[in-house]
This record gives sequence, C-alpha cells and structure tokens, in this order.
Amino acid sequence: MKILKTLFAAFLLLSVFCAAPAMAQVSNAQAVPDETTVNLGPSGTFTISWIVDRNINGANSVDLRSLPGRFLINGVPVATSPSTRRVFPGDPKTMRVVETVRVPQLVMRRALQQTQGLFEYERDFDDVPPFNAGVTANVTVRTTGGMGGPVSLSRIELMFSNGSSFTTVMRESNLTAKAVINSSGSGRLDAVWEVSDANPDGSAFYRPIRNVTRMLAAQQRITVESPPLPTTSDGRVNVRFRIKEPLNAVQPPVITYFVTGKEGERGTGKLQTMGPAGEQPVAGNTTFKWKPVKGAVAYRLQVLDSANSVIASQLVRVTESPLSAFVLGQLQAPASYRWRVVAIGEDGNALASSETRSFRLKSR
Amino acid sequence: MSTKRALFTGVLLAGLACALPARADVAALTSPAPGGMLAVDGNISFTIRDGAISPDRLNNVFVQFDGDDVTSLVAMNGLTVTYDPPQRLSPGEHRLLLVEKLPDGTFKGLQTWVFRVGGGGIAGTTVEGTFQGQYRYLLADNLIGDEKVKPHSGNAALTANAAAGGQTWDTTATFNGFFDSKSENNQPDEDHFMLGEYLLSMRHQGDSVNTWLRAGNHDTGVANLLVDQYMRRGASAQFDIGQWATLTGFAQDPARAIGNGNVTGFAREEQRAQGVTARAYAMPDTYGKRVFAEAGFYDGEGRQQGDGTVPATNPSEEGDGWVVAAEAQSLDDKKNIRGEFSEANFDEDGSGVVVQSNREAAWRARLQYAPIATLSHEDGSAEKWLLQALYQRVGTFYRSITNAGLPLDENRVTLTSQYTKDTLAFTTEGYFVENNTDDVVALPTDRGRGLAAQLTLTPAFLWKDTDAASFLGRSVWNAGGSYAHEWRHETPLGFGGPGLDQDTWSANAGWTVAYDRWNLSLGHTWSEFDSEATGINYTRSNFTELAASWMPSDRFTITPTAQIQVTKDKIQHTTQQYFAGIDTAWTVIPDKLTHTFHWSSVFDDGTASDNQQVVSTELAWQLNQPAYNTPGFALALSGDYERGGPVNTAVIPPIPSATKDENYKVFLSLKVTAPFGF
Repeated sequence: MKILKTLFAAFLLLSVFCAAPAMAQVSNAQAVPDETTVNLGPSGTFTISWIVDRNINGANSVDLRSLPGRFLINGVPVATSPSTRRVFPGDPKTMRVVETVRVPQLVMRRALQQTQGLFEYERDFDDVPPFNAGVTANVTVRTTGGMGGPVSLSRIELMFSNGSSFTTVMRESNLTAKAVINSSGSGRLDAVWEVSDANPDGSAFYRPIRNVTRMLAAQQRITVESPPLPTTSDGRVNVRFRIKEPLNAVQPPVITYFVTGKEGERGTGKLQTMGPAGEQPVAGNTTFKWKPVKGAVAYRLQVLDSANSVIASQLVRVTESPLSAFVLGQLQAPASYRWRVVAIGEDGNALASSETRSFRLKSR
Repeated sequence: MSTKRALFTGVLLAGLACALPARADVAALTSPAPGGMLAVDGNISFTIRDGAISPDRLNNVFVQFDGDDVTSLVAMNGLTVTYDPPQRLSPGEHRLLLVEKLPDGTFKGLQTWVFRVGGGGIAGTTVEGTFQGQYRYLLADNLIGDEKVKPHSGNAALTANAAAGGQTWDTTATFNGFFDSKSENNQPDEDHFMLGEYLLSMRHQGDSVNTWLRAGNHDTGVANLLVDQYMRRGASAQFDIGQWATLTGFAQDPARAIGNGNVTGFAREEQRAQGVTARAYAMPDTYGKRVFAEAGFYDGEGRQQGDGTVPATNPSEEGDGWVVAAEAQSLDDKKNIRGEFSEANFDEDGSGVVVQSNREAAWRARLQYAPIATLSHEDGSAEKWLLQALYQRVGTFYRSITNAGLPLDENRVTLTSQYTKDTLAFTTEGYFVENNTDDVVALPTDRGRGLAAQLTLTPAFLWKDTDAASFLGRSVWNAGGSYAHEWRHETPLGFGGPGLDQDTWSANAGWTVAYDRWNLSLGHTWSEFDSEATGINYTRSNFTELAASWMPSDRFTITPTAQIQVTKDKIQHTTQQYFAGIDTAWTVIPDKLTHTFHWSSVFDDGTASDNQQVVSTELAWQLNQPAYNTPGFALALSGDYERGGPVNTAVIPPIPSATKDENYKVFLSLKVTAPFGF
C-alpha cells in the first residue's frame, strides 16, 4: 500500500513538471485613434485605447504587461509617463486597455518649439512571463489651443461660501460648498459630492449626496454648487468632489467643516403659549400671549416659515404683544406661518422656549 | 502709448466724469463711541443728524438689534435714541440696524453699526467659544489587516473668539482647529491636528488716520489678472487716511491650501510674497467711495518641490508684478466703469530650470449700464435691467502652459444682460473668444462663440390672481439653454491636426416649491456635444433630478433624492446611471433621544462601473443639555455599512473610488459640547 502511495505521488509530481505551460505571444498592438490632440495647458490630457492581439496556447491564464509609456519628439525620448508598470490579468486574445495620459509641461513646451507642435507617445506590450521582445504601438499627439481637444480640467478648488476650506457652522444651519473648475476642450464632467460624517476612526467613509453632470464647452471657469450639507449632528464633516469623468482628472483635496451645537439659543425650559391657537386667522392687531417664566427679563417673539426658519423676530418685556409693524412688514398676507416664544434671562441666556405653533395671517 | 491703452485710459476718464455726488450718514453712534467697546450692561444710543429724517417719517423708522425688532424698547430724547437692553449682552460682536418703511410698504436700511461688547474679563478682555469632542469605542467591524480600525478613537474641536481694547486701540482674535486621534485621508497611524483659520487683528482709532494691524487669514494682498487666488494668510498693516486713501503693506504666503497662487508662475509648496497696495478716492466729500484708483506691487519667491519632471532640489525662483486699476460708479447705480492693467515677471534672473524668465501683461475693461432701475410705488415691486460689456486679454504662451490658476491664453469679449422684475429673472450672455494671442507658430488659433439664456419666474408673474401663499403661488419655474460653437483657423505655416469644429447644446427646465411642510424640486437637463474629431462625433446626455424634503411633524424630517442619467456617445454607446438616497432626522424624545439615518445607492452600468451602497445611522441620547459655561454630554450608538467599488481594471490610471468590497463598523460614542465665555 505504501508503495502504491509513493508511486501515485511520484506520478503526480511528474505530471506537474511535464504539463505544457501556457504560451502567449503579442502579435500586434495599436492605438485607437492613432492620432489625437491635447489641449495646451498645465494639465493637458488625452485618452486612447490600446488594442493588443495575442497568440495564446495552453490552459493557464497569461497576463499582459506594459512598461511606462514614453514621450518622443522627433523620435527622441524626452520623458516617461508617471504611471508605473502595469499588469493586466486575463488572457483574451484581444485585450483593450483604456489609458488617459497626462502630458508633462516639459513635453508640451518642447513640442511647441517644433514647427508643427507634435510629439509621439508609445508603449511596449509583452506577456508575463515574456515570450518574445514585445510589440510597440504609438500615437501621434498634436498640441492645440484651449478650445480644442477633449475636455481637460486644469484647476479645481473647493471652498465654502466664506471662501475658505474650513468653516464652523451652527447645528441645523444652511451650508453649501462649491467647486470652482477651470477647464479646456469640450466634453462631459461627471462628479459626485460626498461627505464623511463626524468619523474619527480615520477610515475614508464617504457617502454620496448628489451626482453632478455638466457639458463643458471650450475653455471656461465654472462653479458647481453642492446640495445643502448635513448639519444636523455635531462634529467634524469632510466634503469632497469626486470626479469620475474625465478620467485621470485632478482630484481636489478634502475640505472640512465643523458643526457646533446651538442649545443656548432656546434654553432647556418649557414656555406655555396661550394664543392665538392653531390656524386661527391673525390680523395685524391680534395679541400673542404666553405665560411668564420665572427669571425672564424679556421675551423673543419669533415668526417662522414652513421650513422652521426664523423670518422675523421682536423683543418685548411683557407676556403679550401684537406683531410689530416691522415684523408684519416682513410677512406676506394672506399666508400661514409659525410662531414661538423664547424667554431670556438677565444674563442674556435663553431660559425656555415654547413649542412652535401655526397661525394664518389675514389679508390686510 | 498704444491705441488700446489710449482707449483704455479714455474710457476710465469718461467713467470718472459720469459719477454723481454721494450722500452722508443719517445718524451717528454715540454709545459705544466709534471704535470703542460697550460694557455687557451698557446702553446703546445714536443721534439722528439734524434734518436727515423728517418728523413725519420718524413713525416709520425701526430699530433692529441682533435681528430682533426692539423699536418698542427704545427711548427718544430730541434727536438722540437710546436702547437699554433688558438683558446683559453677550461678549462679542453685535449689530444695530436703522430701517425705514417706505410709502410703498418696502423697507430700506438707513444705517448699520457693528460694535463689540466686553468688559467682564481681564482689563476689558472677553473670550467666547465652543469646545466639542467625542470619544468612540469600536464595538464591532469586519475589517481585516491594515484596514482594521483601532478600538479607541476620538476627536475634538475648539473655536474661540477674543476681544480686548478701549477707545483708541482694540484687539480681536479668532481661532479654530481640531484634533483627530487618527489622521484623515487614510493615514490611520498618525494623530492629526489641523489648524483651521486664525486671525489676530488690532485697530487704532486716530484723529485722521486709522490703523489696522493683522496677522493670520485675511484678505489683504495683490490680486490681479495674472496672479490671483491667494490664500491671503500673512501679516499686514493698513492705514486709512481719512476719506481720502488707504495704504497697505503686507507679507504673505500666497499659496492656497487648494490650488496654487503662482507668484513665481508655478505651483510651489514654499512661497512668500510681500508688497504694497494703495487706493485713493477722488473728491470723497462729493463722491464718497464710488470713484477710486488703486495700484499695487508685490515681490516674492518660491521653491520647487518636484513635480515628477524636474529635480526636487531646484533653486528658488522669483516673481514680481504690479497692477493699476480705476473704477467709477454713479450714485443712482446705473453706470459703472472699471479698468485694470496687470504685469507680472516670472523668474526674472533665470535661475529656474523648467522654463526661462518671462514677462506677462493683461488688461481688462468693464462697462455696466442699467437702463431700468425702478421701484414701483404701487405694489412695491422692483424692476432692473443691467447690461455689461467686458473685454479682456489675459494669458500668453508661458502662462497657459504653466499656470493653472487662470483661464487659458485668450482675447475675450463678453456681453451680459440681466433683467429682473418681480419674480421674473432673465439672464442672457454671449461671448466671443480667441486663443493663441501670441501667435505661436506651432499652435492653431481657435475661435469660439457662445450664447446662454436662463429664465426663472413664479406663476404669479403670469397670472396676477394667483394667491401668493398657495401651492401655485409658491412654485418657481426655471428654464434655460445654451449654444456654443468653436472652430479652428490654421496657423500661418499650416496645422496638420484633425478638424475640431464642434458644437455644444444644452437645455434645462425645472420646478421647485416650498409649501406647507414640503420642499420639492424637479429638473431635467439635456445636452449634446457634436464634434468633427475622429472617434468622438457626439455625446448626448439626459439628466433628471428629483429632490424633496418633508417634515411630517416638527420632530421628523425625511429627505429623498433621486437622479437618473442616460448618456449616449460614439465610443461608450448608451450608459445609464442611477442615484437614490434617503436621509431622515427624528427627535424621538425631545431634548433626549435623536435618530439620524442615511441610505444612498449609485448604480452605473457604463465602462466606469462604480456601483456603491452606503448606509449610516446614529442613535444619540442627550445626558444633559449644554448651556453657556455648562458642558453637555451625550451617548451615541452608530453604525456604518458600505458596499461597492470599481470592477474595471483595464484602465490607466485606475478609476478612483470611495469604497471597495463590503464592510461595516459599529461604534459607541461619548460626546461633549461646551460653549464658554468669560
């Protein structure tokens, strides 16, 4: 029995060593299109597809490999692409690799010194492991003015409305960010606004809050505003504008805001209102009443809209008052509003506040 | 002098001649004294200038303090008005506003004063701010290896404002910053402290000269057509010489936190700049500050840190420049003219190795005219029509290739029309632009033109009987479109590249309404790009967006969002992308228990597959409410879940993505909020 096992193992080992390895040979490679353009600018890019044909024998997978691409002017290499060596897994006979190339400023400048303002970009393709010397494919690239060629983003800046990359806001306040983008060429911008809620664990947990798509024409500077950013919870929030199209666009850094509490504005106590009640029509001389709060030296009578944003506010010393002429002047009639009262202590802090109640302002 | 510069100068002089006299203040603040600080229990008073407000108008004048109407609480003695606040005022900045109700029922601001309150601390010093922080304990996750989250983490933030001073000198300081137990941007092994913004400001009130000394984040520095976008962090000294002039000297870090300032013509990590700016007002007694000329000069240097194409040890490079500008505006706001000329020198001594030294110039002229600017006394509505013409020539070969901060190399003419009446707003813009202003032989000279129009109105504008408070009356409609065409003109030696004549079209329409407890918006944008370039031919996109917010009760808000995008193009054929999200905020027990929830999903069936699902939720229990000088604490249980990521690997470089695979995390947190002041 032991001899049989030994023979079986030896047979297996022999089979492994004798198995025919997978063979592949790159037979052809070409760039599609084989001639393109790049916008003059600090971050000119172009996108091409490399179509690579291979002869494959054997059952195992053979990966395709390419070293960093080269920029040539008059046949002389002047720079290499910043991308590292790439290995593309899989073994289809024809592989398609899409590449977006960022052209270094040095190459752009030297190309412009030539009469025709062009350069070549080439790549070598072979297999892993290599079975032959590989095949080289290239694309001719011409520089153009800012309006030609595919869309390219030369500058992206994120900021809040105060122009800063950092801000502090009160809870439940309105806050938006904006991205200011310089572009050249023409094409589509696809991006997504994302926020990372107060998350001190260091992980990049971003959640999308709005997709953005814009068609960019010629060179231009556009501003893309974010939707309202979440301010319901205290803490730090990161905001980013992740660009999906054009590929290889510069990804702007993260900007940060901090949400801080505002409990002090309404106090912790309860204040009881006495009228007007519900949807009772209110005229200009209708008196708003509430019960006194111990320690209060003044009361803030606030009128709010349907989104609970304060439209107008008046300060009184007593526990009843009609809406002042100034407050009434801020309101439309007829229309429905809400109101509440906040009691203010001698030290200026809010002592208590009422529930928000509705009223309907009659025509004047 | 060239013809263009002569024209430019002529236009400026014409603008100066168009300006009209200015008006004076209607009242003067007497307590606190100008530049002074009010005690926390002090009274506020101001004196109305004799004859500035006729007695019959006084009944229609209101006093607003920090957003509250306090008219019923003020006392008037002669022309002096005094407000004795019933409560002690909080230390810090406060705002007093004098408002008049016009016969047509609208309100007009007459005067605004901003002053500080202090006096409770050391020698008139006040400090106020908020400290917030949280400690988090990881209850569970499914992460492995390097992605694993440490069990203990926390963050803290501090915002603070301080003020001190008296009648002549006063000082303010602001600061904010925060600390994370782990760094942002996936650097989990490093603690991270981030300084937000800070500013130390000192002001001296003199008899004829006011002096400002500032250090930190502020808006002083040279900004011109060639070098702008400064972060403006540095130090400055500003002197306001009566109503006649302002002179400012500054030293600053011109680099922005995001982007670059390019004082040397390149993005540099280490930059500094210093310079002087001056603004002089023409006949201020008559014209106020409506007519002025300004000039500035700066000088700076920066050091290259390496951008992949040059060594990281480059010598520093210099940059300097200057700007002159003039602006004039008529008192009726109907006419405005501004001209600006800038020049910049980059790397003057040629020590840089990337490109040679270079001198650039740019100029811009802007004319504004409002044929209509009326206020209807019947219904209080306003009508305004503003026309603007702008010409600029900025950019050259050098800047176009190296400076990302500004539009590319161009001559541009822009004509804009903005018309508003009631709820109607109609804006149109047309432009003509030409590239390659330096006629570089190797470059084609491209030209483009475009038109855009946008309309916004409410139904009440069309149907006067519409109830403004009704669902229809609160609706806002918008529609617009744009067209752009670019075409190529050959260079003298000919250009062998493909033709790039191209057209871009777009049209949009939308509707929004805020009614009762609903906010709704629906919009659609169609756009198409047609090009003669091989392989691109056309891209057509349809983008629909629906966003809503509903507050079924004062304690519960739900916000759903949905987007659908269908794109068809020559290369990728038809692709669809869908986005859906829901956010909720629920006060389960007032002042005690709150719950927030988020779900969003992105599905993209195009080549850039990036399907993603995210869920996050938090349940927070407020142990005690924070109040002034009393910290509040809360306990929270939260969870994050995410799934998705890119599937396309045959792309160079790989598509950036927010997430990979699938993971979840559950935390227990202790939060603290502490507003303070002394």
